[in-house]
Amino acid sequence: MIKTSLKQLGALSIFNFVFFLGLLFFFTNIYRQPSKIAPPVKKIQPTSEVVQSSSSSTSSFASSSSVRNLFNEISSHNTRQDCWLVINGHIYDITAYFGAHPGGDARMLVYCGKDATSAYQTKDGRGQDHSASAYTLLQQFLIQ
Amino acid sequence: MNKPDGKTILFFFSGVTLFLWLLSKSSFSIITDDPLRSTSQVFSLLGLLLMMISLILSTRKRFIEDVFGGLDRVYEIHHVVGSLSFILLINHPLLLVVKAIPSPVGMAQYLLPGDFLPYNLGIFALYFMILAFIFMIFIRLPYHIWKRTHQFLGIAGILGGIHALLITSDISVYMPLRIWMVFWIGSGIISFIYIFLYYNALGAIYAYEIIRIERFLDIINIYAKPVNRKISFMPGQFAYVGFNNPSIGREQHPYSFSSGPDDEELRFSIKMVGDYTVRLPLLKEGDKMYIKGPYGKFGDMYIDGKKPLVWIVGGIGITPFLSMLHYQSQLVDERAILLYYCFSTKEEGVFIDEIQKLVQEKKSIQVFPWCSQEKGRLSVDGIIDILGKYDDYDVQICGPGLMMESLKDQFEAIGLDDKRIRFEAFEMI
Repeated sequence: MIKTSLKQLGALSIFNFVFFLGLLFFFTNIYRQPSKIAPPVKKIQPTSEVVQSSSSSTSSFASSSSVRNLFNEISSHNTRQDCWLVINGHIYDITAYFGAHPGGDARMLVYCGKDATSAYQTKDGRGQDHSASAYTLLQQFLIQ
Repeated sequence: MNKPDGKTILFFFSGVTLFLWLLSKSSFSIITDDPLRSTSQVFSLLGLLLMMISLILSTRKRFIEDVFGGLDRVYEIHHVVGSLSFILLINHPLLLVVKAIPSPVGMAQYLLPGDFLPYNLGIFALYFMILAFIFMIFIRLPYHIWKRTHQFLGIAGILGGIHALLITSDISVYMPLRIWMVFWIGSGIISFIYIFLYYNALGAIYAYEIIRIERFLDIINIYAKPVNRKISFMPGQFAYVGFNNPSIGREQHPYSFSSGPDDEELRFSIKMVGDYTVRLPLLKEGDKMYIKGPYGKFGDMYIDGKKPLVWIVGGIGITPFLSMLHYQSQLVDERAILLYYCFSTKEEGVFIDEIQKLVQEKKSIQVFPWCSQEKGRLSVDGIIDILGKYDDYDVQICGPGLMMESLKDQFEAIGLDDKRIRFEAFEMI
């Protein structure tokens, strides 16, 4: 009896796997359509801007009077449970990405509450930029 | 104090893994805040542990047989543990995929190979497992191809193990968990290499020469004599047997000895049911037979026990009992044994004459041939009646897989004391 149940569960798991592959295909096609593309994040040269002084030197996002300026709050989001960082002048909440980063959580944790542009573009000083797919992945964490 | 059985040990190892995983967390809220990721982590750790245990079980080592009470039981547990590990491991990335929805890049990270090798190893392991599972379960393959496919799972296990050690996870940040998992992954890899490369090279292989072959309907009796050393076995045991005849192939299959341990000639009685066994009539006198073993603990109840016995046999399941009867016929000791020998048609009771001859001087052994064509199938109720009538008897049962499965389920359902009953499963790898 248990063997039959396990066989059925195994088959169901394979079905789930195929289903999620299908779902991936579906979402890939949706995001390919220009109107639905997530906001682009341009790769720009590393900036020397320091987050702490962001009130005077941040991007146009922050200077807009109708938008709450989150740049003043960044330094308080500096833990694994609540981690914001800045890359290329944008703020990302990467809290949910802990545990999934191929390079390890420790490398991300160092930059919580700080500007991580240079670290991101050099893979923490190794001189190699992140891949295009990593930039796309980053978009889901964009908050400003 | 009773020795813990194999299942208890498996639960204990799983419990230790879960406990170490819990200790790796700095606070309980990390687990509850992200239930999908936490469940995924538990699935990966337990799946990996069970996969490695499954590999270790397939080494056929004596100490493993002792823990689980016979190689047939080891393989039963191997099947269950292996299937469970497959289910856990395949769902491990799927839970992360659910978390990444609707980001296609995030989803792809767990489903498709990308730039990062440690992730890719896990993904390749996943595809290997899925392919092997599909081939093994849904497609009926010739045994030798099936076996090769099965070995894919070992490769998947190794890839998955390396993936777990290379990625940043609880294993990498919490040393006790790391040591624990490295131990299991290392043991699993060593087991796989042993089975794949060294199983045949290490340990005794007994060479025999075939001296006679008999055939009755779909049963073939192969008689052989040792070339050098004689294998020492207990009645009720089995061995892995291969032949040097090119028409048969060199693969090994498990068969019960149907001769007694002290008989001059060694005999295997084999039913021709699969793509391999139907070629066995091509064997001829003088062919060499290579035997690895012996294995199994089915005869222990008969050898070590003192109680009277009820033997319930279906078809070719008679072979271990033939060995025990050959052995018993040479003993002065009188032990009460009731043998219910079931077969479909009268002609299929091919060993009746031999059994009658073996027991003719043993007043304490009663044989009840049961031809289902004449008397109908021996039902579970019938067997329960027999067991009720002889409630001080121990019971040994061996028969076709379906009969055994059905009996086990029904005995379990009525809460029959399983310490009295010993099954022998002969459908193994």
